[in-house]
Amino acid sequence: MRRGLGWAGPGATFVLGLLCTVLALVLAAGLWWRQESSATAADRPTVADPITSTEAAQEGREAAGRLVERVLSYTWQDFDARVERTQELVGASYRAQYLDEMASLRPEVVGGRITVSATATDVGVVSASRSRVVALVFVDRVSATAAAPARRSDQVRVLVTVVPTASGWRVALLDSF
Amino acid sequence: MRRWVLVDLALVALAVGLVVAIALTWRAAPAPVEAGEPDGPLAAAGAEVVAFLEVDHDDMAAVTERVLDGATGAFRRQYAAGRERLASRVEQREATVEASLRAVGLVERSPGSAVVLVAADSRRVDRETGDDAVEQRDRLRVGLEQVDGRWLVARLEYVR
Repeated sequence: MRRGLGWAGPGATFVLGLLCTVLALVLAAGLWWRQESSATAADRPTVADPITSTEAAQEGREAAGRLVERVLSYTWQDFDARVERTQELVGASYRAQYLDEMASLRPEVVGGRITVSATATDVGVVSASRSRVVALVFVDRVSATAAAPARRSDQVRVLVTVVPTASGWRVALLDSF
Repeated sequence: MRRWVLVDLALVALAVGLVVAIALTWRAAPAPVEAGEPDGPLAAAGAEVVAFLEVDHDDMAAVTERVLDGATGAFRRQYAAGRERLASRVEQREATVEASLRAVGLVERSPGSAVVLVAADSRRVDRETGDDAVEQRDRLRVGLEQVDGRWLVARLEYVR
């Protein structure tokens, strides 16, 4: 018996203790992750039901249309002030991209005296939970320039993710395609 | 020595227990979820729009059959009425259209009916285009009705 358990001793105890510590840490991390996931599971769209919160779907739908119009509209007259105000409606996850896009548009918009007005004609909810709403928005954009005052219209499809915050709904992601 | 054996055996048992617990935690973890009710109005609208946009001059019978299978009401009647003309035009032009679904969103839903927005892309090749395919980005509004448990398209219109 003793010969069969000859591996036992301080060395083996140390190795086993280390192994148990690592495993305990892995388990703790797994439990924490599971807790975090289950805490938001009820808020997530699921395969069975992409809309898990009807209230959020309704509010998010309205917010999505309103916010998309705001983000996609601009005018040369108060371009900087408008971008400054609009970025308050944009979440941290999208802010850098929004500001980059506005910075790249600025010379053309201000130089060409361009005004773009976006109208959300239709909004559909792709998925909705209490923590986020993804919406498909059909947007009509009308633009006019000093050189060509005749208005030009184009139609855009936008996929927008909006999230509720303490100070209202914010754009977390926006993609025109 | 006996004391070390007991301690080590306890640690081995603990390690085995931890491995089992980790495995159970991993298995019980919720799967990532995304939208897409398999038999719901969003999926039905997306599938019907793709079927509606696609044409194949080599097999228009199958194409139109697919569209009619997902249709009901006024849309089905209109499509059925124009079926022969559509097939003839597509065959004459030797047209092929491939469509892909980009996004679908629910506008409203009540028991038995729903309105859905669909964004789809299509790529057309025919005698006129030659190898230079014409690409199109479509916006559609689709009305659906639930018939015998199946969501079918009753209205379909382009949003332009």
